[in-house]
Amino acid sequence: MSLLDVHSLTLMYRSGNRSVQALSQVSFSLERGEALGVVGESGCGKSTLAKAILALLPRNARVTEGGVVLDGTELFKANAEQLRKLRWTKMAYVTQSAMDSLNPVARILDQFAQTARAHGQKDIMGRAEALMRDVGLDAKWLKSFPHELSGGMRQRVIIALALLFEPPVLIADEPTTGLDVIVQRQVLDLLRRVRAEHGAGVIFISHDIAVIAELCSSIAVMYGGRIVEKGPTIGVLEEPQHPYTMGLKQAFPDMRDARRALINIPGSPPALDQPVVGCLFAPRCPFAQDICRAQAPPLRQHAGHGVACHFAEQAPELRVRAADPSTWARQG
Amino acid sequence: MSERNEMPVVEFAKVCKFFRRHRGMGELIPGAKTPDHVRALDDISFGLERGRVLGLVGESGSGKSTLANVLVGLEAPTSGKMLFQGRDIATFSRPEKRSFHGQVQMVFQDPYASLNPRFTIRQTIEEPLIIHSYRRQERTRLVIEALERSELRPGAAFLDRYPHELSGGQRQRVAIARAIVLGPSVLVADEPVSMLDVSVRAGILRLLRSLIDRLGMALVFITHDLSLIGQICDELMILYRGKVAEFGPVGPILDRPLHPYTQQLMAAVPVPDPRSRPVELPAQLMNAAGIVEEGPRCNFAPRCIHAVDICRNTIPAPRRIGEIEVACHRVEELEGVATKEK
Repeated sequence: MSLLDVHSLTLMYRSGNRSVQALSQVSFSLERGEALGVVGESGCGKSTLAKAILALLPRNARVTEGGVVLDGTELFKANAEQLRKLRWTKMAYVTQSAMDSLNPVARILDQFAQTARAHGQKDIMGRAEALMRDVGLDAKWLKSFPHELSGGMRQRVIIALALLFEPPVLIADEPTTGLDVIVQRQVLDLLRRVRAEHGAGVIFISHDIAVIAELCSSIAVMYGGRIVEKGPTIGVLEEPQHPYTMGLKQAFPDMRDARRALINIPGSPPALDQPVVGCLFAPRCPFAQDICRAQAPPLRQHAGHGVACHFAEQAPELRVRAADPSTWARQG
Repeated sequence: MSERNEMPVVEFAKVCKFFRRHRGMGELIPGAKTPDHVRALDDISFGLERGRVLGLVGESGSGKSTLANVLVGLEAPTSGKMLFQGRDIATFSRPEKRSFHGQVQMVFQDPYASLNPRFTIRQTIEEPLIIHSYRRQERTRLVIEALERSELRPGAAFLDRYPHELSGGQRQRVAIARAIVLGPSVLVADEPVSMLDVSVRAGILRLLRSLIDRLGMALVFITHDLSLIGQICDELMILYRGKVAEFGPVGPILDRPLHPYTQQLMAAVPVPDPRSRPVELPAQLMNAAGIVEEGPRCNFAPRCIHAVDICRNTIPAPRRIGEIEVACHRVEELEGVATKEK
């Protein structure tokens, strides 16, 4: 059995009399030492997926189908005490904003101590020092308050904290967003090392294809709460089969070809509060046909990876058309 | 598009901006020596013409936000001058200042924070017109025109909507409409796409570029993302701790960066190619990030792998290589180029 197994996860948020289908039939598994990148636009369900795996869903979320199995434990059947024990020891979370996720009035060492105490460990000075060195920080910073550290240093403290119990699963949600490029490089190098040395399975959530390309062995592209394409990073990024992935790739800048015209995917992501007939991407897809508007394409295996598109067989031809900016030049 | 020999609409002449350092308890420690001032901008000179886009790049603390604040008149230079249409803004009368504030407008990073959630789109865009005493009928016409120029069409359909009804990209277009409604001659955009989805960024950049070209404005585009610079900018200025490291036309700099700092910045950017191996940056660059040393020296020296004695005891004078200005003592030797004193 896999270290982490997400199967047919389907989840709704309810607010008033509106309900939003945030995740639909999301399935994947993660092994030790594997790094899975999850990409997609805001509102595609990336962060909901992270919260589901951490069993930190808000009260108005309801899992209607499927579940998450972490190291043999079905998370949605576990009680609060079981979950409390799993967090930090079996899974840890590297949050997006290092500024807000450290306690501003506690010294760094105290933040290590509090976490350790919650799991029944007391003397952690030595461990904290080792972890700080591990993430490239002098142990003297343990005596500091978060505001005395720079953004990049705080992000490294968060990573060190997440490693406290060597959890087999690490979830990093936009771990480098908002950092300067050189600091970002430092954090990326660290995350790559953590994956190699600690052997953790890592899920990277990001909108940044370049970060995913650098860190991840496999990738899942999400759109409207579904996985629309999934497979080895090289396969998916070099030969995307879903038009949405093709679009993302054309929309993303590449330093090595800095003046290439970037495209805009016309329209906006689906609202998800109405039942949708057909493919969710069809309204924005330059290649959509009648069948796309009538029938939702299932996620199926084709040419080495998973794809949810009726026209996956025509992907080589569509890729050529997608590379031409005029293909995407509807409305703004 | 633009005529290169016209007069710059904004010009910085040896602008410096120093801030007193707040030293707190550190002051009580005998022997502790921290500099009195932060040199946020140190001797910055450039001119920007209508129809041109200047990219301003640097890490946090480089002075790019201070430069923007001086440019829009929120901060006065400690020394040096900022000229608007050829005149020193320090000499402006009250009415002139008022008109200047209408002529230089900003687009902020986060359209989720920069728009008042309780204002309709009309109220948001109309506000500058009210401040500048436009009449009611004219206001509605100008608001609709600004919306349509920002590609929100038909403009009238957006007037009574609220920001929460719009997507991130549409909100940023509203922020742009607000910035252009007074018909300014200069726009300052601070990371205008970094909070937006990748799929809509290109549209916003193209919109800004076309507004600059069609309305003959000048744009200062502030970013830390070098990969976007080639999409929109004509010129590029790399700032390091308040000083210009490299400045010139964007093409040649992207093709061949000359300053060691520019080279490292470009090497650090991740590329969307799973086969490319990430570049190892020198440990010195990473570890010496926080080091500020006063005195006559190159600010970048503590982090530079090429630094030698002269870098640590003499401020590098900017020199010219073709159209590019570089402040590095060793550029001739390292890059094999001939330079002229600026």
